[in-house]
Amino acid sequence: MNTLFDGYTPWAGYDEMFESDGSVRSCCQSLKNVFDGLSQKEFEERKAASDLYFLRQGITFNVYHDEKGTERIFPFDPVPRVLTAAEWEHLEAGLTQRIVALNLFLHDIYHEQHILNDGTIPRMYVDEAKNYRAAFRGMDVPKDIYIHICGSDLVRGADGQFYVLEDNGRCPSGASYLLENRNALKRAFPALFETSDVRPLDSYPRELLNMLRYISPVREGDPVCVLLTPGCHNSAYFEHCYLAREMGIPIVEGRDLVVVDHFVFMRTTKGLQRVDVIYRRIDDDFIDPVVFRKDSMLGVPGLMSAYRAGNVALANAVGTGVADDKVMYTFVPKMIQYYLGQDPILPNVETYLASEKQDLGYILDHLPELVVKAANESGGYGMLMGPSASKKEIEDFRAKLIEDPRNYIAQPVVSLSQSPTWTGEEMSGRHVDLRPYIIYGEDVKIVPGGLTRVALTKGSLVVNSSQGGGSKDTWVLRS
Amino acid sequence: MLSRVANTLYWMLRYVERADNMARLIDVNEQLLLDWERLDSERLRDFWMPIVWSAGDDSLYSELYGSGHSADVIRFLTDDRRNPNSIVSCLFQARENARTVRDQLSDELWEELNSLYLFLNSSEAERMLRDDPPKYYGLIRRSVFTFQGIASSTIDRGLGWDFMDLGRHLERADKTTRFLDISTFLPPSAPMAMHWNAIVKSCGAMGAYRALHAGMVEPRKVCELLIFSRTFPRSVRYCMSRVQQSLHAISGSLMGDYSDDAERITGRVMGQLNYGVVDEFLKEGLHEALDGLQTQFNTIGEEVFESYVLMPHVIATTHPSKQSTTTMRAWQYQQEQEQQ
Amino acid sequence: MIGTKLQVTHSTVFEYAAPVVDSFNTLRLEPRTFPFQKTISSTIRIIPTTRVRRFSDLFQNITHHFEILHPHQRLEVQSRLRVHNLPLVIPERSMEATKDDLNDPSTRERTWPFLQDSNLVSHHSQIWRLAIDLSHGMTTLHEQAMVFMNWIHQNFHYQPGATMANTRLEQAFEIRAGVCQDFTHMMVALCRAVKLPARYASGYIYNGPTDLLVGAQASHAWCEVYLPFVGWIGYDPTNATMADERYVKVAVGRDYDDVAPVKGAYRGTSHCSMSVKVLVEKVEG
Repeated sequence: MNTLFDGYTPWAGYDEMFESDGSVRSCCQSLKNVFDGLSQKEFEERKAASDLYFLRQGITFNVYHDEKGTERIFPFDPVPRVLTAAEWEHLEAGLTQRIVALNLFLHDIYHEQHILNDGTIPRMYVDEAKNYRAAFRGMDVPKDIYIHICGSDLVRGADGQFYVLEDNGRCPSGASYLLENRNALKRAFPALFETSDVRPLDSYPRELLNMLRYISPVREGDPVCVLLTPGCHNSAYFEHCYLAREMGIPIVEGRDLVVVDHFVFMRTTKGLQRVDVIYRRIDDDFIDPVVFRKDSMLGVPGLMSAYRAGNVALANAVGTGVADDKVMYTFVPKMIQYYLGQDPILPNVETYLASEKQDLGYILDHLPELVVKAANESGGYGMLMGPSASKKEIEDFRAKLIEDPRNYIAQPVVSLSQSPTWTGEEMSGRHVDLRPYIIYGEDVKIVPGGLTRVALTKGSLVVNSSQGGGSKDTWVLRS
Repeated sequence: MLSRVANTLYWMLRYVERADNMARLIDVNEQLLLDWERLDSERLRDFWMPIVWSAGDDSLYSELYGSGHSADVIRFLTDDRRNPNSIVSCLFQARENARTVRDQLSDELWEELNSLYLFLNSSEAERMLRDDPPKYYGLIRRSVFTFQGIASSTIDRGLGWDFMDLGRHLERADKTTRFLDISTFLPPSAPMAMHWNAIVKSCGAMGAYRALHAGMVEPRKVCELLIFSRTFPRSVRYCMSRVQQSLHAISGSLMGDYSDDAERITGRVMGQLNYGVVDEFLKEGLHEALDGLQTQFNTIGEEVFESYVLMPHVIATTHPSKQSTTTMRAWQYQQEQEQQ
Repeated sequence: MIGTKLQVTHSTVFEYAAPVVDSFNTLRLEPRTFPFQKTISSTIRIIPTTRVRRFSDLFQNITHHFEILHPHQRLEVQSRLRVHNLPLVIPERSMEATKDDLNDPSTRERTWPFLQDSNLVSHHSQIWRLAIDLSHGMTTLHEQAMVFMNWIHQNFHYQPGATMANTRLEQAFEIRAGVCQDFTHMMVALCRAVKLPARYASGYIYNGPTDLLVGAQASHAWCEVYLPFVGWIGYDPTNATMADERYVKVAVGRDYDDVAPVKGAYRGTSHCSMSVKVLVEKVEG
């Protein structure tokens, strides 16, 4: 019988499922056996069932800059991506180290600023960072934690090593897709889970809630936690609802909250009810029109006064954006050495800072080979992919780099690992990354696995959902 | 429960109910047309326009279509997104409401409404409306029934349910009065018996009517059933007694007493319906009596919003600063948007 | 997977009645890899933030050093670590080993510091007498260690508050009471009295979902005895058990003074309150 993987050629770089000699990796053997037992027709029917599940559940996202405002499902590929227990242990150790160091860095720059005073990190990079909130210097946040939820983007290079590509310490999204991918795969291909020992993911909402309760400024009784959403037109609205419901906490919009005498309340049918912890999915800029953007109708006027008074906790804290600035990323290994006295476990991708004269020269000379990124953009916007860019795009970026070097970094193109992906006709290798979600409360909890995003276009390295990316279920094996 | 959530659940049910009623109304009237002998455009318009008038959307209609003919009217009432009260607009709005309170709904309930939305958005729906309208309206109505069934078997009977039930019955009472009011707008030449038949069918009341009365459908008996019946689930009296129960369940105040204007006015309407008789109504003039009821329904809706969503007294006593005006404006925005 | 994975969260908070300055501190919270224990990860968080330096001490313990010079009223040190423990397997010939097996030059060199007096454990005639009596007639090193361990477990009363961090052995011996630290010092002294190389191990125990073993909500200590052909093996006099895969070893030394998990000095008020919280959990995967 023909099997789905007939004719599949592993990529010359790192293939997640096959060794370089074409044999299947031992961690993927039982999974491949299950797929081998399916005809193409059966496989396609099951895949269609999983697509329908997403659509029915309304697991969709809205694309910005798209005038029709249509909702799309995030394409889901049923071939899982597998991590061994040993690989995961390594990632867990590296990510834990990283989030602790990032939090210490934030504490430092919002307090004494030792790391800047002794020149380990040049002061101007913090002072000029778009997301540094100087007004919050000297303020203590509950339990001294700034980034409570971090989504770090990892990639695996041709050498099989994992590298950190960026840290998302503001409002990382996607955790619900991770959970729903698992649900969809379990429904469509239950046999996969019968033969492999995969670690479950369902603890995520529980850990999230534990963390929120832990950071509550109220010491007695059950703290009231809420999830603050910008509203149902936000691209991640599904996720907000999903997480709020899984945690059993109210999902609120800015207009549901009101600040009275530096305390935050929500308007309920029985009157005002005190709120202790806000899991906010609104960016700093929109959270309080009194302090930040005056035109924001999404936020809560006076929220910052309650926050400063220590009467409400926010996750993540205000001003964490400075840590996921792509320029600051370059300094994370230094932060780890400085605050923890350790060497970084997970390396960064080699990065050139346009603000450094020498680096800028190199970048300008090698634009067609590099990836240039704006320091404060995310979602694959404001980015130049040198090798695939047109002459004009390259020249446009050259001008931007010269005009505003502080705002750009450049990296060599990392040849992301590939994973077999169903194209509609056959299995073919597509590039993937990995975004694990780290929860930092009383303890550091990382849900085993993460969101594996896949670039569905052959050869493309851009995995963002807004730019034609899809996702896969990520497995961490028990042993 | 969050005020906004209560408000959204309330409106979600109102929209679903509104769509269901409209689907039944159009379906019944299209069936009726088949029995009609001469179908010139003029007569068709005479037939359909009273429905637009009774819904109170006539100015929007003439703005969009001028005089138009019957196909336009059906389009306007069914899937014209520019008409906020068309079936499709109502269901889209209901689904949008469901989306904002997704965390309060069971998966099944959401899936049903979302599937209906996905269908209405598809080219299949367009084809079906063109080629086989009874199937189209039938499908919508069946889906709404499923929705109601899932709701009643999966939603916790707490505050959320009370607000949903309130919305459902207030809308239903309103729609019943509007269906009855269609008779007011019919041209004198119209075959009255046939129209009253259609009104009874549009309220899904033919079976109930037949069980009580033999022979021809008579306007007086229809009014008695659709306004004063204590037991028929679409009669105004039945619906309003459910509204009253929901309001008291929400506020916790005793029946016979009231804690806000919504309860007071509902109580007054109930007095009228419990102790009134149909002949008084007809003497006053059916249209005037129905109009009076509709005005009171509107006031009840506004008072519910005032008491549970805006809560001016709470904000006013504890926080007279300008922050409350900002949030007030936000609420008004929401309200305008939903009552389009 | 063979063995057990354990995770420890250990936080120590000092709160001062008035701001203090010039705080210099040494931490022994990160374990190196031992024969039966591998460190998977270890992170230490210090608030207020400061630069941390890391080095190995005389006994190869990983040590962190930091200074906080500016005024502060609170100091928090939080350590999270994960280890992978292998089951404790002692070869037959180690169990049978006698004093004669300690006699080769390399063993003598390795064990010499652990036979001498140290800051908190010094020669004491009554303890010496006791050690001789208890071990009378026993030939193997393991047997002797076991008899010392069991004697302490039976004769010492576990009583938090009876002693302090800097209590010397004599005082604890006097009252026959104390905490794991005193139990361990006692055992180290008994072993050394009969020339059995013994050292002080600090760390944590996993005591399962129910609190069966003493010493779980704080850092723990036990005694290690050198058994030829296998190396240092732990005996826990507080719980009368061998230090097996439930034990997380962090640092070793001659006595508590060498391994104190958090130790430092500062200038300012003497009104300082310390709170310690330890959580040991089993890890999946």
